[in-house]
Amino acid sequence: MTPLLEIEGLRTVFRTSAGEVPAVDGVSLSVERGKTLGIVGESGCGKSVLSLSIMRLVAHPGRIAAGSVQLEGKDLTTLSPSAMRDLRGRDIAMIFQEPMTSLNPVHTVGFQVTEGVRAHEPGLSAAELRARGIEALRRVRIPSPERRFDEYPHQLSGGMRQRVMIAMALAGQPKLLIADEPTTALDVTVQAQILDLLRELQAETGMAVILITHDLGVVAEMADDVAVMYAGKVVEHTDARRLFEDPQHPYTLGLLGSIPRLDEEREDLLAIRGTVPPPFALPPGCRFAPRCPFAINACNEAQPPLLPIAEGHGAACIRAPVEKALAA
Amino acid sequence: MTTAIEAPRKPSVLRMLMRDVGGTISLVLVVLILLTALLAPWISPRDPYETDLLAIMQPPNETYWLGTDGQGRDILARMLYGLRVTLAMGLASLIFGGVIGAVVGFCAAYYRRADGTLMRLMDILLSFPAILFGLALAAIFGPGETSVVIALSIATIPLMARIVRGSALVVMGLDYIEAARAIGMSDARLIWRHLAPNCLSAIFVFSTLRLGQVILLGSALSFLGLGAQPPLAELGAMAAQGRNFLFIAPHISVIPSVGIFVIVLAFNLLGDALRDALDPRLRI
Repeated sequence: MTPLLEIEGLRTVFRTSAGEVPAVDGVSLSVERGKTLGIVGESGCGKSVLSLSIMRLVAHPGRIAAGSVQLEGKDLTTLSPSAMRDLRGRDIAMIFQEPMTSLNPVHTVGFQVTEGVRAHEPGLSAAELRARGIEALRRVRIPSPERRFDEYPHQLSGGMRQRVMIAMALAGQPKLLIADEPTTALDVTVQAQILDLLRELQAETGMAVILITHDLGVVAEMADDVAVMYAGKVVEHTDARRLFEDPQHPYTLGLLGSIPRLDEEREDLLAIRGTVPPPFALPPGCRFAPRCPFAINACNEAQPPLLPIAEGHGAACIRAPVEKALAA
Repeated sequence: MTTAIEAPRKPSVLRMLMRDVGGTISLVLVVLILLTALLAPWISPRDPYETDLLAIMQPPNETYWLGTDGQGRDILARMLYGLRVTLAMGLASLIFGGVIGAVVGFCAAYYRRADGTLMRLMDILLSFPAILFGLALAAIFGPGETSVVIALSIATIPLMARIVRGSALVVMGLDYIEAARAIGMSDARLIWRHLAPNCLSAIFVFSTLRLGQVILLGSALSFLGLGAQPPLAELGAMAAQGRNFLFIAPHISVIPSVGIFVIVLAFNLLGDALRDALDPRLRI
């Protein structure tokens, strides 16, 4: 069976005074029906631009320069703008990081939840819309949805707003939900509730989820597959268990080493030195080489491709597997 | 979660306005001005076009509360009717110019590719003074209210476009615009439902302030003889008609001028008070 979503060699560039710089550079990924793909990386690694590229919502001066995004065999990069608009909210929906600003303060919760339904199924009566909206709010476990329907966003808490956002996204019954850091702005306890909710809804509806996050804990809890992104490229791609048990790319190792643990003797965190290179000043070879403790001269010569090092496990590193590199 | 805690109600704009003395006074004045203009035919003591050559240039007295002009017409009646013309010209220019300007502003903020071109066009419009537009249009179409309204509309377009673009750009950066796009909304719907309502306060404040300016400009054009033509009662034109008698009967010019002053002042004060009441940066 073909995967629900298949991204091939996607490249999104932004035009700046320094020329065109890539934010997403040759990313290939796929998402199976009903599964969750986690995309992990630091700020500025291109994970949000990747999600906007899938939705074709990259704003000027950015544009998709190459590659394809196939949803059930349909290439989204070549669809007409109106066909694409039709597909947003119905086939693919998205939720955002900041629930405080993701709802329009001048409209009621109900208006916003039913907005997608109104856009995609014109001609419903006010009573039908209301029923659909209340049902959507109930599905995301919002207490007394009948009353919440008529309230304004400022009357709701952050976690409640994120639930409203999810209700909005799911109102069109999408096959794919892109969640861009859905819990980053929330309290830890509320985070867990929202993640639970997402998992329950996924089980109910069978939708696929792309979960974009910088939080490896969220990935461990939610994702089936994980892609680690660095400077616009996927550097490691495997299933969630293997990523934590047997990470192969030095960057992934660095990320895992940066997490404080409660169950071990306290030692210094293995923070990755330096910062992500800006997209207009990328190193010529491997983009991680300048920060990599395992780098050798050859790393600076050519960009390593994402190669399989085991069944279902790819890493873009010429020194992988690392055990071999360490032994040498 | 059985007992929901209600967020405190936001005080209404009206209440915020009334907190301020200037706001209260200007609001009362503006309401009075509008009522007077609306009710002119009922409250006017006599016909504004009726001449009485036995009672010309009379200073204010018991019969003619505000005196009479050079042709013996009642200045009070002419003020009441003139107010209607002046306000109507101002409102018409504000609405035509404002609507076109707002559409341009929204398009510039929404379609970033068109932004540069649209705003340079607005800059070109902005570089011509409104009086010059009035002169040019009066030369083309002949003097009259239509020319004034077109001239003032054109002069309002770039100003409104800049105000709307500015506040729409801020709103465009917020996540709910992205979220609305992500559920597949059309551009027109997004602009109308999400962008416009969030720019309304800026539009209101600017419109109120601009109405005062437009009224002043319209009266100035009429004063210069490019707008309302005699015998039509219009405040600027009335002030112009008293010009020749400035030393023997100053009230003929002074009274309409004071009228213009009060109207412009009222709208300016109301605009300032509205800005204080609506500006989120000042609201805590």
